[in-house]
Amino acid sequence: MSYNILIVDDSSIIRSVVKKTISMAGVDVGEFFEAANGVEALSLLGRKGIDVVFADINMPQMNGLDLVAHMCSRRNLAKIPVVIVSTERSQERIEQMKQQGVRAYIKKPFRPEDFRQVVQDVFGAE
Amino acid sequence: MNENITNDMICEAVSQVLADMAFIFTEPAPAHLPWNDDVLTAHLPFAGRQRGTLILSTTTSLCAEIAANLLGSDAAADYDPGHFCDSWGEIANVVGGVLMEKAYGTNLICHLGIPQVSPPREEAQIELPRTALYVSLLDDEWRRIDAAVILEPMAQAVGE
Repeated sequence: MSYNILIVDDSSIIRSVVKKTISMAGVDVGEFFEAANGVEALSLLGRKGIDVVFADINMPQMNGLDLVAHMCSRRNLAKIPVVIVSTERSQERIEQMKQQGVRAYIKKPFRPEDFRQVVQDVFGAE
Repeated sequence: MNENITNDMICEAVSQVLADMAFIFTEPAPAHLPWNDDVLTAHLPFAGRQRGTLILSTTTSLCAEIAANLLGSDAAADYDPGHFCDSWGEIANVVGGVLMEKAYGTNLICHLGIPQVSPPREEAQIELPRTALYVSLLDDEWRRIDAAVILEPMAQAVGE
């Protein structure tokens, strides 16, 4: 099965790096979509069929956790898994994020196997 | 776990991130070499047990190589100045995260701001207070990377 993937990060270079890393990980990608913040992401989520979201936390206009909160509040978006990709290292904070609806977490700097494992965990569990 | 950021931690964080993310290998600079190119500077506010700002400076030529290495492309063929600020800001972001872990471990919740990167200038014109932490590194092509941490004064304890 191929996955439509939305990458949300205010850095265009990181969006490109995440795309490249996911491709290197051997994930079966249908289509990549990109957004620079949570507002753009919500707009895309409302119009495109997206299977998983990889999002940074710190972004202007709407950060990654506010994006998760908005998605959880909408019936048509609540089931789409969101994986946070960030520099956060506090275990307590990562657990808080999962309580708020984040499905998984990838720490920067990341490796292809990090994405492969997360996709297996997220979609394997489903 | 050490409660305060040190020069060694800053040096380790910068070296580790540049090596892991961009395949740039660095050593502490033996002396202050002149900047041999325009300079980009990123400012990243942070708050952990201490609050402050991480300041990272390097040359545009090194930023071009970092951007190319991040993207897995040829620096000369894919020259895009817009990538420089972007890539240097992201390096600052990740260095901040690594530094927070080195200083405070994984039990303390820390906050990083959004990195702000200034346009390239002839010199990195930053006045550092006497109390600032500061390190200078060189890569294997003798390109300079400066990292500084300016800490805010600790708030007075209640009752003092």
